[in-house]
Formats: sequence, C-alpha cells, structure tokens
Amino acid sequence: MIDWTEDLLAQIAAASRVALSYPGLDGYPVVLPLPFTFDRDNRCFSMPIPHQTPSPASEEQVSLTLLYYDEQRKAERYVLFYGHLTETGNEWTFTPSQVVLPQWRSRA
Amino acid sequence: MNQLPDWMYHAIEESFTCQFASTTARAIPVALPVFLHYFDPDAGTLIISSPVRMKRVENVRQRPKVAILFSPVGAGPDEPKHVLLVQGLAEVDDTNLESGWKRYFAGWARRQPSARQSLARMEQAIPGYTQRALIRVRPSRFLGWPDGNFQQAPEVVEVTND
Repeated sequence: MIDWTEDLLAQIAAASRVALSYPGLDGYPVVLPLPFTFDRDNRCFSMPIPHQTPSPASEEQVSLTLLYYDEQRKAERYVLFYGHLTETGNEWTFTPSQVVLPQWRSRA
Repeated sequence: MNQLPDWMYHAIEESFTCQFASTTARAIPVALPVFLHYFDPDAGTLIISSPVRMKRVENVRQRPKVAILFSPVGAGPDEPKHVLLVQGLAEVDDTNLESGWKRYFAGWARRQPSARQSLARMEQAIPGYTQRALIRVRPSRFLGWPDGNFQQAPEVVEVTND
C-alpha cells in the first residue's frame, strides 16, 4: 500500500527518467532507461517499449527506479517502486504496489 | 576479452553514475545509482563498492547475476548519449572493509570530486557508510544502443574469455 503524499507526487513530477528493471529469460537482470508519463488518477507509469529489447521472464517481479539529478549535491537521487508490468500495444504500464524511499531522505 | 566498439568504452569511462542491478530474495531486480570505481578494458572487469550492510551485498552473494546500466543522467552536455547495459557475474570482496575500496576510490572521485570531502559527513548520516565491500563484475554480455536510439536493435557483444 502506497501513501501517495504530495511530496511523493512532487518527486515523481521532478524526475527526469526511470530505470525499469525486470528479470531476463536467462536470469540476468535487464535494466532500461526510459522516458515516462505518470497517470495521477490511476497511479501508474507508462513507457514506450524499445525495439527488440530482451523479453521479461516475469511481469510480476519488476521494479522501477525514479531518477533525478541533484545539481546541488552533484549526485543522482532516486525513489524505488516495486510493482507489476502490463504490455499494451507499444507501451508498458507499470503499476506500483510498494515504494522505498532511500535512507538519506528519511534522515533529512 | 573481446574488443568492444569504441563507443562502449566511451559510455563506461565517461559515465557519471551508473545503475547497479542486483536481485532481491523475492527475485525482483532492483537498480540503484552507484559510482563506478574502476573498469579494466583488457579483462572487462568492473568494480564498485557498497556499504557492507546494504541489501545489495547480500543479494550479490546469493544471486550473482547482475547488470550495470550506463546512460545519460543529465549531469551536463559532455556526457555520452549512449546507453549500455552490461550483464555479468559478480562477486563480493569483503576482506578489508575499512580500506580495501580506497584502492579504487580515484575512479569514484573522478566522477564525483566532492566525495573526497563528503565521506565523513556521509559516515555521520549513515553509520557504516565507509565500511565498504568491493563488488567485482565479470561481464557476460554487453547490450548497447549508440546515441540512446531505442528504435534500433541493440548491438550485442557476447563475452568470450580467450
């Protein structure tokens, strides 16, 4: 269960891209950097499916790392979501079920 | 190791952060940003370090198939536009948590010069931050998209160690 606070929604709005991670058929992780749109009403992310990417071995064992560059700290920040993936035409839809905020945020 | 296309070396060497993906106990790959410490272009080995108490370290011990993603992060106009996914087998070296990783710190500091000053602050904020295991990745495969063009099929280099 995710608490969709305004702070979390603001972080999603500030993110420049996501890294989608899923298990490949040979057991190696597949990670792809993708542009995204976020549907505030349905709380899900949509991403274009790249041409000829390795297929997911599972659409349930998926995570999404929201990434943004922190100019002040010269570092990359993230918010991690677990969830599941569905494929619709040329798009993936990722529906989050759990969010993990990094330790540095919870201590800020 | 096989010779890689020049642009793949460029994507690795000129990267700012990269995303290191390990697999959790629930079999979910998780990619989080890290600074690459070292890349050996002859053997292909990539080295990062990680606070030993992070789940990432245990993930790698239990499930050594990992991936590292290199792609632009928005740090500036000079960073390569290429996207490169390296899949490989990783091993944890926790023989010297105090200072083993410092042998490779130059590669981290080249990417993030402020790290030299911020380590003490990070240790205060996150106790154990400087007790770091090394993670060495031996690549099995490189999948790359020159200029980040996902409309093309990826260039794939399967690694053969002669």
